[in-house]
Amino acid sequence: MDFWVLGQYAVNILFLAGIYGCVGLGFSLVYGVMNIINLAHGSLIMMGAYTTFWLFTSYGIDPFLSIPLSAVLFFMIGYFIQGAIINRVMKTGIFMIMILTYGIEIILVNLALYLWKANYRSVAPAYSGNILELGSITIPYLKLAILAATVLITVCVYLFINKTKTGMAIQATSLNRYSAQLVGIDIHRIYNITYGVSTALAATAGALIASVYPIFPSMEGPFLGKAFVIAVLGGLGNMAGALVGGLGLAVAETVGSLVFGASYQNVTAFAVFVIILVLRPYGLVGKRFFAEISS
Amino acid sequence: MRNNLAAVGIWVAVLFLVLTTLPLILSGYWLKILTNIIMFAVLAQSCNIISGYTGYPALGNVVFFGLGAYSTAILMNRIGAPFPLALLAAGLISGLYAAVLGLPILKTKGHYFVMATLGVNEATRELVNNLDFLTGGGIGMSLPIPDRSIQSFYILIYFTMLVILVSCTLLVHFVSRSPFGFALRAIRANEQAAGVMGINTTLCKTGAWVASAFFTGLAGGVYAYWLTYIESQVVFSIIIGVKFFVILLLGGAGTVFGPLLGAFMFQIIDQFIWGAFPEFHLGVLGLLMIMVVIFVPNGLLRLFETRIWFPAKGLFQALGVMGTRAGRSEKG
Amino acid sequence: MALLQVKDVTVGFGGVKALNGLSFEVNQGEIFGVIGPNGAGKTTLLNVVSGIIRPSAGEILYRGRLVSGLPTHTITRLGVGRVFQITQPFHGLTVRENVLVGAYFGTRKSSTSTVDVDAILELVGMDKLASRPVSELSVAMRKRLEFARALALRPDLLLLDEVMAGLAPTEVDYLTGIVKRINREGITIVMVEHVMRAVMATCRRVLVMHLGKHLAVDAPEAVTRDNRVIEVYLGRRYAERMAGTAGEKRG
Ligand SMILES: Nc1ncnc2c1ncn2[C@@H]1O[C@H](COP(=O)(O)OP(=O)(O)OP(=O)(O)O)[C@@H](O)[C@H]1O
Ligand SMILES: [Mg+2]
Repeated sequence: MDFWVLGQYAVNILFLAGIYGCVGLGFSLVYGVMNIINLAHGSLIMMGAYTTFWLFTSYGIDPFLSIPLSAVLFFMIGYFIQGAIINRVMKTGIFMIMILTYGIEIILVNLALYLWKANYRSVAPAYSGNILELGSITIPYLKLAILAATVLITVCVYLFINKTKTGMAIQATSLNRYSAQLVGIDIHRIYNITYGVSTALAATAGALIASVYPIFPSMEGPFLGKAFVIAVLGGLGNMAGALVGGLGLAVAETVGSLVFGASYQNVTAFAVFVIILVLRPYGLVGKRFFAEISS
Repeated sequence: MRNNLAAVGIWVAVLFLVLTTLPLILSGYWLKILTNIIMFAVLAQSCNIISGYTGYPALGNVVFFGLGAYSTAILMNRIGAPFPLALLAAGLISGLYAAVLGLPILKTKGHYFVMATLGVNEATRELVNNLDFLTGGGIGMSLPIPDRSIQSFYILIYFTMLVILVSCTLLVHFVSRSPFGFALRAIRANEQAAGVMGINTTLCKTGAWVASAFFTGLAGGVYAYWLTYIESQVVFSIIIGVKFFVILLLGGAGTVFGPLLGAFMFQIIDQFIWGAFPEFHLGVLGLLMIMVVIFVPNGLLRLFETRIWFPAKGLFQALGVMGTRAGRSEKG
Repeated sequence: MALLQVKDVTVGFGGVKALNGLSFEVNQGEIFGVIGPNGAGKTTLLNVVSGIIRPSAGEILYRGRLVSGLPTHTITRLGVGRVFQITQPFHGLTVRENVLVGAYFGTRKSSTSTVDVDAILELVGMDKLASRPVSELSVAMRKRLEFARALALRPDLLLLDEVMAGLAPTEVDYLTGIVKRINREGITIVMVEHVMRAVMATCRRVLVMHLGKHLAVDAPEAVTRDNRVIEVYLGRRYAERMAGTAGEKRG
């Protein structure tokens, strides 16, 4: 394979990795802090995509400019969902919480079906046809912008988690919720904020997806699936790992479709996923967690 | 205790009588609903073996439903196998799939297990989509139309489903009071300790999953024949998977009759929702799931047993005795 | 021949070597103590012997038979019982049922005599609690339950992981009594313990571990006077000072 073809693949993978990183970030955050597999994540992404679509078609707001708007809106929605519903059942087992989040998932799908119907929709900003050419590699400016956006978002999340007081409290809660309470952290508020941030990240991912792909209500399923794979590749609950996982999934899909044919890209992704779960449940890069026997 | 057992006997007999005579007098519409209830009871009961008794939340168990449906369809359509044979093979294929997958996947626990089962479901669905020459790919697949009157066909389907439910429930009943069931409960409570107490945890877990997969596969096979047309999006859909999980929780996980009660209640409510809010069916279903989790986390069976006065309290108490305390009367 | 032989066993967790080429032997019929500071690898050692963890190197022989690599339940059925440091009861089962599990599944096929669960409960003083759910038990009672469960396996070798930790002195003496009694009835015991009161009272030989390695095997009195051991527990400076004062007294 010659250099330019490889280059083109690398660029495509990088772009996919950006979107996937964004998809996985919020999912992993919630798992890391609250130990919840958030089955509503896919539909939150989908709703984020539709919000972008709505802002674009009704008010002509550029998809990238819509990100801050929808992020704030979705933060509040997430804060509310956690505070009003999920916090009630935090002490029950994993069965319960999963069913609960799935309930939220299908409510949102129903809402989207009602508001926008099952049709494919797309957002096409005026510049979406513009292309940067590097030798024989072609890069749409849109994809460059998405890559830039994901880098920016990652930096913001990094700063938020590591440099703010709330971020520290989130980290403390994720390490040990009981000790966090002992040092005066209101863990329920932290849960609300965490879910809010995760929801805002889902909305952001949705906005990025909407700017390049067609959107439809049942896209939640595939993206929830992708969030799983990304999070597990990077190590469940590990935020930096989510970015690695995003890259991992992008590579797996691309290689999978090259080797087995395009229609096999999902099979490859899920096969890798199950294998990782069984062989390296702590992720590709993660350290083995402390599996101390506890009752 | 003896009183309760007698009560259970009577109630079970009445239930059986009702279930065997009803289909003969019901209209097509209601027969369909009843068959659906029985099917979901089978699915929830199968799930009960691995999730309720063994404690492994197999949210992706729907993969065996899809596998059973496709196996039946392929065997009948491509090879021309008669339905009973195809169905049995479908159950066995599903069980085998669980045995092969179980060895690695049952090593994972909790969230990891849930995700692994969901991943297996997705991977299998994708695979089915890609094997066009066998499965028809994304277009779906039709089964041979039965050459008998529609009414008698639906009655046949109903009774097949009922036989599966009865065998599955009997199995759960006997397992729950056998040493094997005791081992499963020990695994659910504390797997590591169970191993140290001499329980072959790998064997027990895999056995439980195989049984669960077998019955789920049978239900999938009957479903395929019933609808005479299947699509991977439907038979591998997570919604079905979550639905029978909710039914299990609603009725009471780890009880013998919980799944039956849950299926009945849930499907009736579901039917009502379809009628009343066709456009918001999914949304109301979601709401219902949330409410089940918040208000009846331990299942109806235990709720009736402990808190709520109910005209048939005796029944629920009796059923509860068989369910929650089955296996406690083990002799040393 | 020794009942249990541990030969050059190494267990690594990522970078940490929890056991590092550890070797020792336990004889039939003895009470063998294992001590060492926190993180020395004592629990890991018991995990390897009972088959919960596989060693990355080395081998373990039980009655001369290679057992490392066998699944946990097989090792149990060969006659190795195990009591956990962090109690691990079967929640949702009653006290009696907890013990029953062991009697059902843990005993060897060859042993014809049935296990008398009630006698075991009586032995550990829990006969009155038999039908209680385990969630109602106090810490001390949970430890006794752990004990009873392991006894129901009719083990020949019993591995005890800090059963005395966190218990009141009277409770320690009670359990010590039981340990001695079952030992007299023929059960060999490996006892990981921090409570020296119990170690002194029961063990003839003690293995001292440090950072996954064998430091010394000796009688408990000798071990407590061993400078290397004092150093490991209390630090070099303290050990030197002790050695110094001892020297002064002698001089
Ligand atoms: N599952 C695990 N993963 C990673 N490291 C582990 C694991 N289990 C134990 N360790 C490490 O191995 C070392 C030995 O641990 P172990 O629990 O065996 O010590 P111990 O002697 O029983 O200590 P204590 O007296 O505190 O019970 C420790 O450094 C510990 O951090
Ligand atoms: Mg220890």
